[in-house]
Amino acid sequence: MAVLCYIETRNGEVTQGALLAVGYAQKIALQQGLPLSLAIAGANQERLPNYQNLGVDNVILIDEAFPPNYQIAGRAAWIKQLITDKGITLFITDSSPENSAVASYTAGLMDAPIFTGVTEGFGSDVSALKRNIYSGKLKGSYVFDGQVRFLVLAPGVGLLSEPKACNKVDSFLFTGSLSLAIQLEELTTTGEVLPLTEARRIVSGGRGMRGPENWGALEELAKRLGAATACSRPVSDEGWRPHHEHVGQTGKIVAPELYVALGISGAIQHLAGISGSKVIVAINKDPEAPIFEAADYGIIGDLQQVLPKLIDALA
Amino acid sequence: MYWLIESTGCEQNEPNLKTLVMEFSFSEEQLMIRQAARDYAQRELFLDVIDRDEKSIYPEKHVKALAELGFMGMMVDPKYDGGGMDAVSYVLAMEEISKVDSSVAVIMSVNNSLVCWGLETFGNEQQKEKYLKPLARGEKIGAFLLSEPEAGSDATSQRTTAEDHGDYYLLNGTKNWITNGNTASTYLVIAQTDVAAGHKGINAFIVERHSPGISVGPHENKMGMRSSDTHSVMFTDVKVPKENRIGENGFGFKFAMQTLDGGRIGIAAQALGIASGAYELAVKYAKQRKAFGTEIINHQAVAFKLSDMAVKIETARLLVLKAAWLKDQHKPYGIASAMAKQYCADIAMEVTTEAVQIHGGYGYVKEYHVERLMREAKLTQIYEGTSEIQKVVISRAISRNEMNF
Amino acid sequence: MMKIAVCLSQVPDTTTPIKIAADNCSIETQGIQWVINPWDELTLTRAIELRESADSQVTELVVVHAGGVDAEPVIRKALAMGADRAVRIDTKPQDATSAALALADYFKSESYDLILTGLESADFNGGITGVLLASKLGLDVINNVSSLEIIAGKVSLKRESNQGTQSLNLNSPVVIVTQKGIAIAPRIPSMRGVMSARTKPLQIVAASTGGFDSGLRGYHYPPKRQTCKFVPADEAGKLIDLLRNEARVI
Repeated sequence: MAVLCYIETRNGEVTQGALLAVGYAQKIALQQGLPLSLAIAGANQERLPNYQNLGVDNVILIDEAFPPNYQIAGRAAWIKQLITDKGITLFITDSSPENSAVASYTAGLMDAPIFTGVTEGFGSDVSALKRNIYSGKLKGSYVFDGQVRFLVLAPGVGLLSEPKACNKVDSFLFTGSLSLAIQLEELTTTGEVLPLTEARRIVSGGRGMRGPENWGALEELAKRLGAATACSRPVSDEGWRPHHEHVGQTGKIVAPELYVALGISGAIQHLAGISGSKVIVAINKDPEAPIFEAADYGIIGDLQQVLPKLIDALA
Repeated sequence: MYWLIESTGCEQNEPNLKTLVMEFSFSEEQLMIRQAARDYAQRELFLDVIDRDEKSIYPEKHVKALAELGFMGMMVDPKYDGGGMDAVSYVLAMEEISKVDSSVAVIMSVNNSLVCWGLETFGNEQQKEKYLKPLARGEKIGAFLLSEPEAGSDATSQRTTAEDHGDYYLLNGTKNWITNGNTASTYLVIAQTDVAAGHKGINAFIVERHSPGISVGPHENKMGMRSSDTHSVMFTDVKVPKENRIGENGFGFKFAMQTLDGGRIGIAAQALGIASGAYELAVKYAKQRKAFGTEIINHQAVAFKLSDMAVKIETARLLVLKAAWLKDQHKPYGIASAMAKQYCADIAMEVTTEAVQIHGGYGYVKEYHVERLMREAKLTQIYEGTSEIQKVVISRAISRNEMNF
Repeated sequence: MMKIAVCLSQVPDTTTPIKIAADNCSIETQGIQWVINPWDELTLTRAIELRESADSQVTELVVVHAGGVDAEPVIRKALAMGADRAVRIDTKPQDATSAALALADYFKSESYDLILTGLESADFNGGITGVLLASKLGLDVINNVSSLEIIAGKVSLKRESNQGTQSLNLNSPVVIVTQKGIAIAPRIPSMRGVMSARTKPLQIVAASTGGFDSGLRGYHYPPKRQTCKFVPADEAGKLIDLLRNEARVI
């Protein structure tokens, strides 16, 4: 019986979501009295000391030959073998689309139960989980039973692990055979420095910003806060901002520590995209805007007046 | 929606119908049609409606999109490339479109109720093949030319003349307030051929927009529905081939009156949409706006206004749906449609005025839509038969004991 | 020539308030406005565009739904939008997994070149149905697909990854899980579509999977967020202090 946390690095770096997953896994493993392994895809040998310090019992570096991130079936075959080889009974990963898909495919291969979007389950009984349903309007409580169990955390859920050195480092190479039939024609980078779903702070603009020419102040505020920029759906539909910045039900679901909504009215579809945020700040000239019902802090005022003041306060 | 009413003796001319079920629900298709109209209106028309109204910009891309969706020839038989839908579906679609954009709704109404219906009902096969099909598909838009500078409510005194020259008619005169006046390709024109015969000497013609001798006046600078194009149209020795005359010689007045009967249903639905759109906005505003410690919907002055508005709209809706149902059942619907048109238009004016009032200062600015709806409501009381004319129709039916429907 | 299936889910409209039913494990259905799951609607729109394009390689577009007879109006809307045929698997999925199992069972009996699913359904928010389905059918699956074309019998798509947009080519059969960008806005059914929906086939197939325990033990309402703390507009700088010292997020 053992716990496995599976993550994929971004150019060798451990992402924020992954860090939170490792912490979560560490807490569970401790409560269950089980060994914890960390399997890393895209590991960088130079970063090994970082990985070893994350507080797990065993670091497993997945071989470079691991199929690319679009080959989910191929990756699942590898992970299934890893799980069987190491006697894993609980598989935990973060909400990145690739990791979530690998977890689901593998669970399907193994006829194992899987829960995604998990928000709570810290009790001594990991078999009791909570997750959001109906786009966050309700919460469901579930029990989780099976020989091997798969768990995918919701964005922003988890905690930072207690560092602890680990000397046991292994590598893993799939010994079966795979025919990978998908060809990569081309990779075009979007110029997205940090994926929005991993940003710890986000400054987002809506229709109330009046036009793309006004984004300068928003970008300055984001820069001073060390935040990523985002927008509401009408803004990306009108072409004021690129599509990958759209946060909302059919856009990106984000759960940063700080989400600042500028000139966003707070339509339900937008709120569904940000409800996991730790702190929501709303600035809008309309006192009746629904966003204020979801926000923790608010300013009712003209963005043209308020933004410069905020920027100044962040010298 | 359909009503099966047990004969109670009040309906003298009705055969005894089977059971006594009164149904007030819609079919799945009717609901889908309503939803499709609502989706297009809320998603697409909503985006630029204020701008187009302010600047009087014709909604070209919307007319094209609605044509592609099949909204321009909804009730025309599929053998003429129409949708084959019933009048109830048409009313549902018109209401949804009008909640957001009456200009687009009036373009749709003229094309559907007046031009397509007139042609399909009274045109011959060649006329339908040549003119009805493109109109039903919405590839071409139609216009209905009856009003003149000196003849509005009194359509019997037509000054536009159509001289019989054997194998063609020669048209001369001016028509006023023509919706789609410039953008239409197909005009249905009412003109006087035989002055001595009075209204029995009036004919209806299909006239192609670009015939030599037709000129169109400037776009009218209107109070409301500014995105639809309204022009006067002048005819100077315009030749119209004989085969373009609709029906028998002298049929024109009857053609116009009967076609307008159906057109009334479309305009009633438009007025209903204007009213219900304004009402929905007023409710939304009243639930959010706070004054004297609570949302204004909790103050009786506002609450009672909303209550009155809701009752008027429900009544209006029942009137127009019944008129549509009667038409679908091929029963006489002239009185019902007159009542619907008059009532829907009058309450649209009342409801939109109150909606502006409920919005307070915000109701007076363009951004909040209700002022536009109020300007639009006014026209529904005037065109396609003024409210006063409707009362003439209804009161004559009362005196002739023709109020059985 | 390709045969495409689009998996559809029926969910409450986003603006409908949701209430928990007396049994604590389901929602009150009275007054709920049911719609096609938004992600599925966009996916279906793209599939219809592929079906209706001038040089279309698609011979048949079928929508598949695992659910009860109350979903039929929504299924007929999909037919009105432009699908050729519909299949309803008669079962009541409790979650994304049971939906995937019911779908997998059906797809074992009828094969398709492409099976499309949306990212997640607005009720269970599982986000796994498409991938799980592929795994049960032993098929490849591509997720996060933002653009889809069929060129000369091959599937050509774009996938969003954190490194950028990947352009991929592959052969059918395959399962595709879509995301934002797959279509701009849901297709509005044309009047012709609405009138023809009644005559298009809607087949009902029995579900063989039953007795699945999703592990659900109860629904409850999330804790309410506490009320917003307002900072006056002319003292906006105070907000920064609060975020720094009180909320501790900067």
